[in-house]
Amino acid sequence: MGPESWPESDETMIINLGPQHPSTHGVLRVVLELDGETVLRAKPVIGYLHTGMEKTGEQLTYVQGCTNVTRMDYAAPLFNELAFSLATERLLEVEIPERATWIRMMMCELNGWRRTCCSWPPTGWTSAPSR
Amino acid sequence: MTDDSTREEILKEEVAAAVLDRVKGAVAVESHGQTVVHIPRDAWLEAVRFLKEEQQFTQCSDLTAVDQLLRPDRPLPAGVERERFEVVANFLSHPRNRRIRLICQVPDGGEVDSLFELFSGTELPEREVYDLLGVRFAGHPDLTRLLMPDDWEGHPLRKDDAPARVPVQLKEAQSPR
Repeated sequence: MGPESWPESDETMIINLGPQHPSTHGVLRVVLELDGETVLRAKPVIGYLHTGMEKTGEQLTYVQGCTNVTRMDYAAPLFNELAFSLATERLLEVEIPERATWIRMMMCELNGWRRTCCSWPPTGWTSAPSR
Repeated sequence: MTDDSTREEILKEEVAAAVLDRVKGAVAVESHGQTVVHIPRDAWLEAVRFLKEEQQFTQCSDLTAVDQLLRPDRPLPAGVERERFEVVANFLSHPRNRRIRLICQVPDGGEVDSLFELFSGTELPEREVYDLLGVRFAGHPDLTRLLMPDDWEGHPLRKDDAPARVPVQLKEAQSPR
């Protein structure tokens, strides 16, 4: 019984998926236009988790800024820290020791793996039909 | 290192020179090893179209803006008129392995062309810039707030929008217990 067998209708339904829906973790709302079970349009609405970190960053020193940007993604903080550090160092024309470059490389590799391990289980359980 | 940077220099000049040739009033500079081209506001869309369609810059990797309210005397290359906001867009060319940054000066309350028709992915970044800084984009399909509530007043990332302007309600709220 696929969509092609459903009766034709020009009535569509607008529903909100989230932000309270469990699968959106309270931070995402998707406004859906549905024709039966078929999604015609989807408009994501974000901002439920925004804490104004750029504004916070305006008040911080460069060293404090590193700590600020890691908070933006708890699953992969070091990528943000690396990007912030590289930009700051480039602007200040600071050269870092080779040892630091290698430590950064290793930490980002580990962070990448951790991030992957952190993303697959939620993907599985939020899309599990039995939930 | 020197060989690479010399080759880089030549390539850099190529793209920047092509943009300068095409866009009247554009000014190119080098900033910390990166190519930056200042584009007049009325030529913004034309410059990006040129990059995309004739220079193989097929990705707009970022679009944002900076409020320069507190830096009215900031250094800018000759020929660029200072305005309050700078809209900044970064482009990437995969076939040429090159990046370029375009900057456009926009006055307070001013408007700049939306890049949506060329790079539809700029829809959300442009909404974010409008929401947080109040810069408007002409031709954007849905220029509404992205992060702040729809009824929010003001634009939080403006330098004159003080962080403590809105009192934190939770501190004063009566506890139910």
